[in-house]
Amino acid sequence: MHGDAVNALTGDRRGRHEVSPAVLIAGLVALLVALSLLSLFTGRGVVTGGLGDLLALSRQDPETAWLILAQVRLPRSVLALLVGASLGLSGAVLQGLLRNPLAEPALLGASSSAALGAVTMFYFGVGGMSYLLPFGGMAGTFIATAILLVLGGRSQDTLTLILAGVAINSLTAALTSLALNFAPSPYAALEIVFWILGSFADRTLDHVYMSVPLMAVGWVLLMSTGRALEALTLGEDTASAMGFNLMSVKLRAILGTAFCVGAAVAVTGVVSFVGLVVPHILRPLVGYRPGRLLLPSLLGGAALMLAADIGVRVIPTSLELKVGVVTALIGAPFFLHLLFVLRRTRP
Amino acid sequence: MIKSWAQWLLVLLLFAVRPAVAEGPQRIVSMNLCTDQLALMLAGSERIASVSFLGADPAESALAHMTEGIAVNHGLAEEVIAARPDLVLAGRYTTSFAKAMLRRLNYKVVEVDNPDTISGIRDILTLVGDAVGEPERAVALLDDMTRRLAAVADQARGRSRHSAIIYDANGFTVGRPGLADEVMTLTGLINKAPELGIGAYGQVPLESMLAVKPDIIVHFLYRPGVPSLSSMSIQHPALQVMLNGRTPVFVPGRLFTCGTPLIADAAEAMAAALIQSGAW
Repeated sequence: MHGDAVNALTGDRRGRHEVSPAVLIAGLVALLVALSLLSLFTGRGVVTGGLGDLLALSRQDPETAWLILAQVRLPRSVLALLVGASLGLSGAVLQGLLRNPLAEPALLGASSSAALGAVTMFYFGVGGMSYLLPFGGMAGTFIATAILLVLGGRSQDTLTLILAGVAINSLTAALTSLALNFAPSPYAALEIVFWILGSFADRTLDHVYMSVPLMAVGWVLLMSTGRALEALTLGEDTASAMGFNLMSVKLRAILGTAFCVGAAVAVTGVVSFVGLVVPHILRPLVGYRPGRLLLPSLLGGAALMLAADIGVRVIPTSLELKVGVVTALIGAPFFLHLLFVLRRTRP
Repeated sequence: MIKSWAQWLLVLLLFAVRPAVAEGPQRIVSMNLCTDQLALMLAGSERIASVSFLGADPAESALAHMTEGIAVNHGLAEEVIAARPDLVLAGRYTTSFAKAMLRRLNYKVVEVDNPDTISGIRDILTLVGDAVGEPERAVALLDDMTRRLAAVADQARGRSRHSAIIYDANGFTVGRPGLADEVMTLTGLINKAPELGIGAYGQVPLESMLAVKPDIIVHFLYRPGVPSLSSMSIQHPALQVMLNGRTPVFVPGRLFTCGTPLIADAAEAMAAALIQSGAW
C-alpha cells in the first residue's frame, strides 16, 4: 500500500530510475569529497572571503592560514557533514518505520524537543558548553519520538502523524521560548534564533568531539533497522511473522534518532527539512526499498548540509544567514509540493 | 575684613538668584536606559518619578545605585501616566507606541538621540539640560567630561600605538562612527574594524579577525558568569592561539552602551584595562 502511494507520489513506476547501489554510493561519495573541499576553501568576510584567498594567505603567513583552516573551517565542515548525515539517515529510518513519506525529525518535533532538552541543560543545568549538553538533547528527542510512535505509529494515517508532529513542535517551541525567557542570559532573546534555525558558524573541534561519538552510536542503531524496514513495507503482522522483533526495531529506531538528532541539535540548533528532502530524492534511485535507502540518505544528507552551509557563507548578507534558513527555503516548498501530490493521489 | 564681607555678599546674592527648590519639572519620567542616566546626572534622584527597569539594573547602568526608591517602568504608557509626570524623557527609536499615546494625551515628551560620537553627547546634554531646567549643570558636566577625556589622552601620549579590534558577544564589533572607536583612538589604539568594512556596528567574521591579527582584542564585560552562546565567541580556541598568551582587554560594557558623560568613565576604564593587561 505504501509502495503504491510512493509511486503515485512521484508518478514513476518502480525501478525506472533505479541505479546500481555501487554506482549510487560512489557518486554520492564523489559529490561529498568535492563539497567538503569546497567547504574548506569557502571563507567569509573581506579578508579571506574569496575562494583563493586562503591559498594566497598561506604564502605570506602559513601559520595563520593553517589556523583558519584547522580551527575555523575544519570543525565547521566536519560538523555540517556529520549533522547532515545524521539528519538524512534519521529521516530515511523514520519514513520507513512509520511508512510515511512525510516523516522527518524536524517536522515531527524530534529536533525541536532536542533543542528544548539542550536549552534546559545549557542555561539551567551545566551552565554552558559541556560534554553533558548532547544528553539533554538526546533525552528531549527520545521522549518526543516515543510519544510520536504511540500516537501515530499504529495508524497509517499521514494526517494523524503530521498533526502529532505539529502539536509536539508547538509545545516544545513554546517551552524553549519560555525557558530562554527565564534564562539569566542577557542574550536569550537572540539565542532563540540559533536554537530554532541552527548554524555551524564558529563551532570548535570541542563541539565535534562532544557530538560525533554519540552520532556514530546513532548511525549504528539506525543502520541496523534496514532489513526490518524492508519487511515492514509488507505490514507489521507480516514483518512479525517473518521473525522481526518489532519492539526491538522500534526501540533501535527511537534510540538511534535520539542519539543522532539529540547530539546534532545540541551543538548546531534545529536544521529542518534535510531528513525530508534527501530520502525523497533518493528513493526512486534505490527502487523504493527503504532498507537500501539508508546509506544513500546518510551520504546525501551530508552533501545537502555541506551545500547549504557553503550557501550561507557565499550569499552576501551583512550578518551571516543561519543554515536553517537555507534548508527551510529549499525544504518548505518541497514539503508543500509533496502535500499537493498527496492530495491528488489520496482524495 | 572687606574680603570676608564680599564673600558674604556673594553667598547672599547666590541665594537670592537660586531658589532653594530647583525650578523646572519636578516629576520626570524616563523610559530609556540612556535618558535615565542623563536625568540622574542633570536633575538628581529627587525630581525623578520613574526610571526604566534597565536604568535600575546595576549590570546595565553605572548609575543604578542612584535609583534606589525610584519607581521602575518598562516603557509602557500606563506606567508613565500612573507616575503623573510633568516631563517624559524617551529614546528616539524605542517605545514608539507609548510615546505616540503620551503625546496624544498632552504629556510633554522629549525624544533624545543616543549619539555615537563624543560631540553628539554635547548636543543631547544641552537639550536635556534645558528640558529639566539645569542648563548650568549641563555645562559643568560637559566641562568635567572634556577635562577627564583630555587627561586620558595625555596618559596615552608617547605610548606605543597598538592595533585592536573589539570582539564582543556573537563576534560583534564597533567601527566608525562609534563611541568605543573614539575611546580607542583616545587611548592610542588603532581600530582595525573600519578596514574590514564595518560601519557603526557589525559582525566581524572569526577568520577575518585571525587574518588581521590585531595586537589587542577588546571585549565588553557584560554579566560575566551567566551562560550564553553569545559570550562564548571570545573563548574560541583559534583566538587563543592568535593571542598567544596575551589576554583580551576586558572593559565594563555598561559604560559604552549610552552616549552620556559616562564616556569619560569608559575612557578611564579602558586606560586601566590596558595597564592591567600589560599593553601599556
